Amino acid sequence: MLSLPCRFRRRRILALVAVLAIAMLVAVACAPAAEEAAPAEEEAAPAEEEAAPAEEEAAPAEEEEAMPAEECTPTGEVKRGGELVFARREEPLTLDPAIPNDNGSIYAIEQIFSALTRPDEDGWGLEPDGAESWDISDDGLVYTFHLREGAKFSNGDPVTAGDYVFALERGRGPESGFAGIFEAIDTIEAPDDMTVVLTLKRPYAPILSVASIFYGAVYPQDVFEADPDGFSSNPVGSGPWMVEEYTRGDRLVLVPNPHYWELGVDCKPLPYLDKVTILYVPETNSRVLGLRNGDFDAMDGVPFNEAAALDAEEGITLHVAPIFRLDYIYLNHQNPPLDSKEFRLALNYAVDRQVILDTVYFGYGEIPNGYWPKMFYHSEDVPLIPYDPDKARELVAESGYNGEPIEILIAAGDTTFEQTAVILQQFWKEVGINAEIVKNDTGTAFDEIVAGNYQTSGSYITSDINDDDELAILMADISNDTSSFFSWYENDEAVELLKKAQSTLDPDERAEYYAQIQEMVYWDGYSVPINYVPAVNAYADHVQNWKNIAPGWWWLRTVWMDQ
Amino acid sequence: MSVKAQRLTLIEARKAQVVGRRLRAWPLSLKLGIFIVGVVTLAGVFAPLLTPYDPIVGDFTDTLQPPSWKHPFGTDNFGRDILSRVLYGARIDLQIGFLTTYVPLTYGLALGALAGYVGGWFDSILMRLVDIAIAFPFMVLIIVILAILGPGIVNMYIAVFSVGWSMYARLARADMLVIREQEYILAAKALGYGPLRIIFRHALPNLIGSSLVFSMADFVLNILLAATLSFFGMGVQPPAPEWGAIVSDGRDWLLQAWWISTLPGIAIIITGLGLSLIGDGLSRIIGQRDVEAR
Amino acid sequence: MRLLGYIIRRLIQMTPALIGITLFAFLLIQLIPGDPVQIMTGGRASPETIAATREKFGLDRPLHIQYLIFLRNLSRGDLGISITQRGAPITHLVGDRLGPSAFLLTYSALMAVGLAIPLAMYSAQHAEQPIDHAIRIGGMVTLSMPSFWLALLLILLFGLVLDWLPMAGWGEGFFGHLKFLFLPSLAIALYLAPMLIQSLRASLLDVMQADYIEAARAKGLSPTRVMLKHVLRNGLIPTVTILAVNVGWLIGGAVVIETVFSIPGLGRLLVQSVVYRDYPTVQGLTLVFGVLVMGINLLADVSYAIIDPRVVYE
Repeated sequence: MLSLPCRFRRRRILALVAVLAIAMLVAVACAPAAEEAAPAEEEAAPAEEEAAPAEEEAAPAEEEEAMPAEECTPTGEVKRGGELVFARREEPLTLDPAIPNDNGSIYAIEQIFSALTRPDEDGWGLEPDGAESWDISDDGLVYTFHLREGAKFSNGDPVTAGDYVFALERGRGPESGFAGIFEAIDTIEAPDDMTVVLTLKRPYAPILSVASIFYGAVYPQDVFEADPDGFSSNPVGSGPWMVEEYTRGDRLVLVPNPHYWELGVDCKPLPYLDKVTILYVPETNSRVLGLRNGDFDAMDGVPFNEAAALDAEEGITLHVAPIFRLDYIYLNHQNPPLDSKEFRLALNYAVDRQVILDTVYFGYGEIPNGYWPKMFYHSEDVPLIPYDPDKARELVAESGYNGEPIEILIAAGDTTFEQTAVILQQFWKEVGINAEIVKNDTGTAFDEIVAGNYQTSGSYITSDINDDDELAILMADISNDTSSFFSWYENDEAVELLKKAQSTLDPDERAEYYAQIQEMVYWDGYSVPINYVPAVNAYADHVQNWKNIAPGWWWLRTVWMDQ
Repeated sequence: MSVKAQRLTLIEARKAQVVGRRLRAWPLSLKLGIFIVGVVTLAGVFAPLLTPYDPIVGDFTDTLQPPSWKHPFGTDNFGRDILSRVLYGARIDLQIGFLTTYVPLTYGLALGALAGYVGGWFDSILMRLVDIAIAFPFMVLIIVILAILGPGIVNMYIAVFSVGWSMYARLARADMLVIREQEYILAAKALGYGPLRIIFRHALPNLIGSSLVFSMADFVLNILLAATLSFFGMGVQPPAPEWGAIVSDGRDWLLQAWWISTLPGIAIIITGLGLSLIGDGLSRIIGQRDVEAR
Repeated sequence: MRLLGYIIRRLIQMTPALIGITLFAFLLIQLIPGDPVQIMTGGRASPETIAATREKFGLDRPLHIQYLIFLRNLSRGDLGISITQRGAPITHLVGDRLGPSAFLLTYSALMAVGLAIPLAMYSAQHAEQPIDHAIRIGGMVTLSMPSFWLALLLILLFGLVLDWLPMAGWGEGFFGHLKFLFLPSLAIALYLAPMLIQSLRASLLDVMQADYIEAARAKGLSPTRVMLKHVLRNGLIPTVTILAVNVGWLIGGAVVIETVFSIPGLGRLLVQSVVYRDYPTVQGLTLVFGVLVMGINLLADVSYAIIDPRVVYE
């Protein structure tokens, strides 16, 4: 509010200036509080670096012993060194692998930690990570993982099976963000320092994929127990990177883990870069302009409308990678008129998805024919619900829809869904369905969905592991904690099939089951799927080997810069 | 009526006459300001006549067109004509600005006048409230209230109505503290008029001046508030063409389609300019009248 | 000594208001529909996890106990822990962001003053002439600009068209901050300056009537020098008044600027916390803002007291 000043007589200005100066000193003095925190971490790092050379002198001896299994012949040349500045749309809220559910944290955690297995180069398959190999018992219930020889955490401590057990137990314990993912595991044991044994409750095909999830990533038990609350800001892991600086709301600075096991194409340890600075830049325009004028080397979350322009620009490369993501309209099956199958199908028939794909996504993506993202067991054969407004009108009449407007709930600031919602509103109107768009802030919108106080809502879902099971069953089983991922969809037959699909280890059998499930649930009008959305990153031409893998994050360890 | 009182009433009446004559020679800024705001208001009122396009439903074959003869302000990503949206948006923004300014003014003024006249614990408590309301960052308060009530235009009104009266109360009270010592008030008191009558019939006309001047700035700030709330997604709901919402939506297209964000912003600026000019003109008149009254 | 007594009196006067603010914020936030634990755990957590988390943050205790715990922690200098940021101490969060926000606000204030003084002087010297009107109208125009519109325009102009300045983040090192925060501060300064110009000009016009100005001119000093001297002595007080009184409003406006320019400041943290129902952080921030605003008002009051000792005796 404005106010009008009063008049004063003149006096010494020195006193006034002194007062102002003190005020400014006070303001600036608060800033060093943050800077004082950092030096403490920096002092810790040199200590590690001093320790490392000692270990490296010892290491060659160890490596020569381990070598016989995999002798390394250089297969390529890279330029090592350099600092990559990466502008990201989301920021990590925590670096403790057991707790988060947001991709901001998850994608950062994937750089710092390792689990027993990991997704392979493009993300569709699995390969060894913390475990070099594993054996499966004949009945499919006991998985014995042989840990990697000589693996160490970034602080120099050796990785032991005990640490894995601790981490996994925490990952399925009361603090975990998604304990349910480990539901099929009965016991976790470490018969010796180099072996982890998982005993399952029933045959469970996805277990190797589940073993790759960050909730089970390993960290030193003693370090965690020494300061449990501090671990989320000062983590220690066995992944390719370690944290040099973590300033919330601003940046995460990663430097190579000096004890990382994996070798690059030049037979020296990964990563290639000296440093990666991940900046939090939520404003899209700032990210794009920053990349263009060289402030950033790479960015994620390229808006679809900018993608073509960026691609055409000299010095910038666009990277479009398929990921396990589906944008769709959630339908709340317990909230009429969405409890009527005819109505739900009408919602699908009424929409020409190509229009949405072109207008909102600028052609990036694919029209979905399923209810979970496109993953390994996706079936191309399931027929698409076609664009047929006449059929839609028929179905609306059959469903007995009374004309009352239905609500499309979207979170404010989500421009993709805002646009999609407006388009849907228009298409639905043409077949006699009235819809109202309700924009709530993210917190309220989330609450409404979790509580089931919504009718339709626009959002997306991503898979953390590369097995279809995680989402297929999460989204369709009403008996789980999320009630079919907030859709309240009830279908016992589908759940039966899903359980069968997870219990058989035969990939062909699984494929058949998933195809059946996909068709059944999709054609039941589970949702209004909109797009199998790819990840769109962009980077400066001097950045080499940028990779956004299918589960959603990037392989920063194999990135190098040609500068 | 005693002779003294008669004379006082006569003096009052003559002052009004003098003021009336002066009013005809309004300052240029006031005239210009009224003209600008008038044009904007008429544009909003006659919007359907001024444009053939629908501000809500777009034409998907015509998206992201730069300004041209067909679409003087271009189209947005839904193919909606921006000029139409701005014209219809005038209705929304002027309505919001008007209500959020003048409704709180009425009870703010009344409360402040009462507090200034009566004094005592009522005054202390009211002023404490006012101090807290003013100290708290206004934007923050509104955001928090909207977080409770939910987004939307009605809730925005509720939020501003609960908080926006404080400045008027403070202004009215300050003026009242001066006025209550003046002769015509003392005379009215001596004549035995009740406090309410004194406040509302005699004091109020002279209190209104500073509030009116401030209200112009407040009007502008409230329009900007509505725009900023749309920016955070908490204000007017889509697809309503509130100017701030159009600017905010255009953010994602800034690099490709600058016209979506820039042109509605200009509408806000022009309206704000008109209102500020009125405020400037009013302050000159009030200033002159104060000079006369002495 | 009198001055010290005055300061202490003002501090005592402020305390109930401060407590009032925190109580107010605390209660207000509780009214917001929504469960922070659900939002934080992202919906996939088991009921055990949700219950355990709720307990960890003391959210299962009755309201008045929660408030008392907050006050107790406060007396130890602990603002509590953030729900959204998964247990990060709020004092750290605030500490990290205080720097950028303080820098931004100070920088903007200085820029605004730097713009206002010459323009006000010029305006007063040529009062009622076209240039004066032009400056006044220019001020009305920038005052009517939505802050995010102005910010976007600056980004377009300086980022895209002329590639001079960075437009995200706040850089590293003092000079880095100066460079990165230039555009954001400019956006805020263009908002503040018109108000300062108005009051400075009025005060200058008053002074220009005074006799001693005539005397100084007769002595041969240029009007500009005389005005500059006067401005530096008397103009700063009303300037400081306006800055101090509007600081609450300024902080609110900075929220938008911090968002558009991706500056890791307090304003952005506040909006985030409200959106994610991070009650402890909103409370802590409210207190911080309250202290900031009141502190600045106290500073302004102390300045008056230094200038005009009569105030002390009230």
